[in-house]
Amino acid sequence: MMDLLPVLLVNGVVFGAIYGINAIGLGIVYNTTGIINFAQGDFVMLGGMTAAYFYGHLGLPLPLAIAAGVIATVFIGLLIERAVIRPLWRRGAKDWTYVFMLFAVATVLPNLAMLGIGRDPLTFPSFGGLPSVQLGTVTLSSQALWVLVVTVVVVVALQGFFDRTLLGKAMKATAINRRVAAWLGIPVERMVAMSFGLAALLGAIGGVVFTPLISTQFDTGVAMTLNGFAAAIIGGMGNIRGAIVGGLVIGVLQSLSTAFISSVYGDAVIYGVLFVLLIIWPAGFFRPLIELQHEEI
Amino acid sequence: MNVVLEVTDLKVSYGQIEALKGVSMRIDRGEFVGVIGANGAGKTSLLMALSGAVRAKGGSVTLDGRDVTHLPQHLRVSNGIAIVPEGRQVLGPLTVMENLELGGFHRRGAARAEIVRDQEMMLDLFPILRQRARQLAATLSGGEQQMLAIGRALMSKPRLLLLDEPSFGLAPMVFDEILGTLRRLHAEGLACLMVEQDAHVTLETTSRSYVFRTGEIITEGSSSELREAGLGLVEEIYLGSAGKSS
Repeated sequence: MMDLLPVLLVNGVVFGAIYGINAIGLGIVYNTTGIINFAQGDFVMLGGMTAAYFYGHLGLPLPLAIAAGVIATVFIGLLIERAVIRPLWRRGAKDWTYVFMLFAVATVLPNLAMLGIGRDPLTFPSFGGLPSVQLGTVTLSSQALWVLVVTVVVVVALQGFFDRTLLGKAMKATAINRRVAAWLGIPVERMVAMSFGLAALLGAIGGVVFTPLISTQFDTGVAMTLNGFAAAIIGGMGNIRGAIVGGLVIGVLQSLSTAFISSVYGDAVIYGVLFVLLIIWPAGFFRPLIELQHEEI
Repeated sequence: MNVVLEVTDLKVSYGQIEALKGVSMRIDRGEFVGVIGANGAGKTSLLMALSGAVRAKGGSVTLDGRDVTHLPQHLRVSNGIAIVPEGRQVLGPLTVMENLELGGFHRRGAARAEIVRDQEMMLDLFPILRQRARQLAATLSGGEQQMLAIGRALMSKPRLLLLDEPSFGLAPMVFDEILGTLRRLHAEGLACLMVEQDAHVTLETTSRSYVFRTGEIITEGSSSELREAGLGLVEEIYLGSAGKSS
């Protein structure tokens, strides 16, 4: 059974990368709004489902279908901000009101996907263009390599965005202190909208690189949100590097526990281990950008 | 005459509580105006309403003849109102240079070189910040943070600079140094409105002052005349209040 170990590790890393991307999306929305977006995992689902739909049903060429899937998901993310978050924001709603409404969104989106696209798992071919890589006894498939390459590109691009561009710094300023950001002339509402757009973009990217590995179904989002949330907490909410590390921890734990313990007790074991890790590092491995010093929204 | 700010019958309330009960005031170009009063006199509410952080319930605010009463907060800055908030409020996890850069956020269409030049100007204005340029703002001393907060506000090229309790928590010598810089700036034409609990500091610094009590202006005049009115006036302002502690 130990022969399996390398395969499981690689598998865990590949899935963990997707959780990590999701955790970054959760962190970005948390930073600008102070709330957890329970619909984050549905962006993964929507990215995968819409791309598969554009490819399989509408017959678009694969690259075009993927791009269209990502764009459609970002559009939905922006729509959620505009239709759900902003009206509440302007009326001074409490944090739990947003959380509840995002729960509602996370319930409605899968249903809409099921009605609009279908209940069957959907997939589309691997991107191709990258070789498969032999790592000792394990073969890393071309698509798995895509997942890892895209993850690295996403992390580098986001670090650059937040550290080097004025817009990125303005989003950080909004995360650090909304009142001050507004005094500096930063349009805070627009920053919140951008954070939802960015979170949807990340989810969709995760969804389209992950779908060819197995498939995506209307209810994939729940597990994606949960695993992304766990990754964000372990890594330190809002910390980009932490999100990836947290994602890898969750991915590997999941892969190992499912294989060596059982898929039934696997989850219990993961949460047990997470609990122990959080007892040791209550704020996660890396420092969050902001530590519960939010003033009222 | 060159009026920068004209406030007419400005009203602000929080729920049932009337914080400003119809305040009228005026600031000319290059004037350094003070607002003094005890805790709860409405000084901070005035700044909140001018900077757009709270909505006016009534009255109007015009800047250079333009009505800005209902302008969204982020557009106030591009219209020329910048604030140095109480307690400095620098963005601690960002560097000094980043704080300055963000102060000029509304100028994002401007050439990068122009922003860099203005950042340099701020470092010339407050030379001690030059040594700290790449440090996180959280690592600065209180006085340095106050300088950064002022530099950050100036990066937006304001016509009116609002200062909320700029002396708070600073050693007198440090504050004097900052005041020296502020005086130079207003001599160059910048209009400043300073809100302070410390009446002595305000009256010594400004050319004209308004005295607030419970949301109203009870008296106004040249700061030197108000100073000569002496301790009696100051005691009247703070009578029944907790004094200078905030």
